[in-house]
Amino acid sequence: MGFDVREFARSAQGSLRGELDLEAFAAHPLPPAVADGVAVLGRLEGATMDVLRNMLVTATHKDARVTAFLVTWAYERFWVADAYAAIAAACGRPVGTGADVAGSAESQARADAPEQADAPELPDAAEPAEVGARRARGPGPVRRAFAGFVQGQAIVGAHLTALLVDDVVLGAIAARLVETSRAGQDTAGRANGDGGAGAAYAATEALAAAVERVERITARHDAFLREEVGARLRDDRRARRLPARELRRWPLPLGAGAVPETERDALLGLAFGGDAGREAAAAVVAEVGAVPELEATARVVATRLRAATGADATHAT
Amino acid sequence: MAFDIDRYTATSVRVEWDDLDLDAFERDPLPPESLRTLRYMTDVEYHTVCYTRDLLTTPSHREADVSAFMTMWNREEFWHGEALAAVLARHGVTVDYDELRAKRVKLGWKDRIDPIKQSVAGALVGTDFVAVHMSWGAANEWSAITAYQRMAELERHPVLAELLRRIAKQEARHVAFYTSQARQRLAASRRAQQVTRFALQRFWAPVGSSIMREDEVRHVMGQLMAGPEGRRAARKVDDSISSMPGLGGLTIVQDALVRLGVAA
Repeated sequence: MGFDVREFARSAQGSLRGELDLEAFAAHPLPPAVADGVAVLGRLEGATMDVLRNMLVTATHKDARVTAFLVTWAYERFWVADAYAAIAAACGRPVGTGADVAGSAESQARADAPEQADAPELPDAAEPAEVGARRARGPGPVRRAFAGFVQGQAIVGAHLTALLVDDVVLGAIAARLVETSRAGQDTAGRANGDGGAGAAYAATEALAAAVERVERITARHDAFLREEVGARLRDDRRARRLPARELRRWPLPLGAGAVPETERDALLGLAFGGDAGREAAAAVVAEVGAVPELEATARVVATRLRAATGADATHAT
Repeated sequence: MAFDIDRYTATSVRVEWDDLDLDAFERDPLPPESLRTLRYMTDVEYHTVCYTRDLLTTPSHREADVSAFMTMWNREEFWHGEALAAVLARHGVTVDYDELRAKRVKLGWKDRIDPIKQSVAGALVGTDFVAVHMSWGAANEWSAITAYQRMAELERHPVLAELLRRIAKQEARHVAFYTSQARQRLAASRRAQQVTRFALQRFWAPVGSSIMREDEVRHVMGQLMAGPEGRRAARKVDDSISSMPGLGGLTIVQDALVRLGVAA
């Protein structure tokens, strides 16, 4: 019996706010770098329309089972984004509600600015944030639609692979935020001579609980994606070649175009920089590489994480 | 009044029908012509994700409110498809994902080129193009509500009427979003009014025209919008559309009925 998309859609998870211990964050805010990271993570989770924009212009939109999944996936990710936004806001970071984080990097600053359909040529006058966001997004829908004519059905497997990789990367970032917060709490605890039970303890554990809750939500996404990727790549040589090639054309995480470059780089540095970060990056690469037919894709992920953080994700110990 | 997106997202739910007595359709089945119309409506609801694709090629997707709305709207429309499919299932008509996929594949080159056309038009017209999409969305949602209401009136089946009432209630919130967006954008730009007026007058066709065969469109419009009552309903939709800034006098729904040869 395969993944039951109808049951997944029927039991979709809505708002998580009622399950969050927001008072813990208000009483003992997370360390500023972690709180900022949570805010950025929320925007990456919420950038589903940026992702769908480029996927639906190809054969991916024709597969009704896949689109039924994507509709529900976007809904659940919206509320995950909202949960992270609520946590960051409770820590004093003004990021608003899920609706506020569902837009993209320039949405607040440049909501009324004209957009080119496909913007390989950047206008000289473009602001740095706009330039960075466009570069981060990769090719736009026109180029992707034309490429889709040639790629045909094989592109669906590549898109689902990209979503799977995104889930693994975002999950690793969330886990690293918890680790970083715990490390800060231990340091504060030692400084206070109270054995690590510092002021941030309650907030860190509340963050850990939230991340664990999100993991349970994304576990269902991963189950569908792993099943589909396996089935689509197993018997189709052309489909097997596409994921690695396609992933080079996407930002990583996929919603990176929705976040200003500096904030995105800060989060990736925090998550995948340093010894512990290198280990986390290596674990991401290993997890992707363990999926049948995704060895080449894992190498691309390693390169992308190395480029984003300067760390070598392939040789961490 | 501005549309409250936070309230909308917080209260967005899938349409419920578990509490409805669908066994009633086995005792009192719908006639074939109504099942044909319901099948059309089901396909259109499931196809919303493809309309989303076109919307996403415009600059509007970057705006947080629009993005949030589209997330919820897509899900609600998907569940409208599921609800209508459940009614069809009680009549022995199965709508599964493979069949929907086969229908989408059959749409061919026009469907594949559409997002490119939309994207290029959006790039040429700029942000004013968003007004076209929002006005178009409003016209489609008004039409959908009218179609569901007309179906309920014509069939007088208590279970179907209740289900369609629930669906139409959600569609009414979609209308509120689209009209709020469209009014704001049309009021702010004379050029947006001109482009929108031109696009609606020149290209608008009843919802589903781009994905269904013309004989299916004619059947649905003939069943729901023929005769004095049907025309009155069409006029009401036109009145709503033409009440938006710069769109006064448009009669796109009535014009479409004339083009399709639907009897007045």
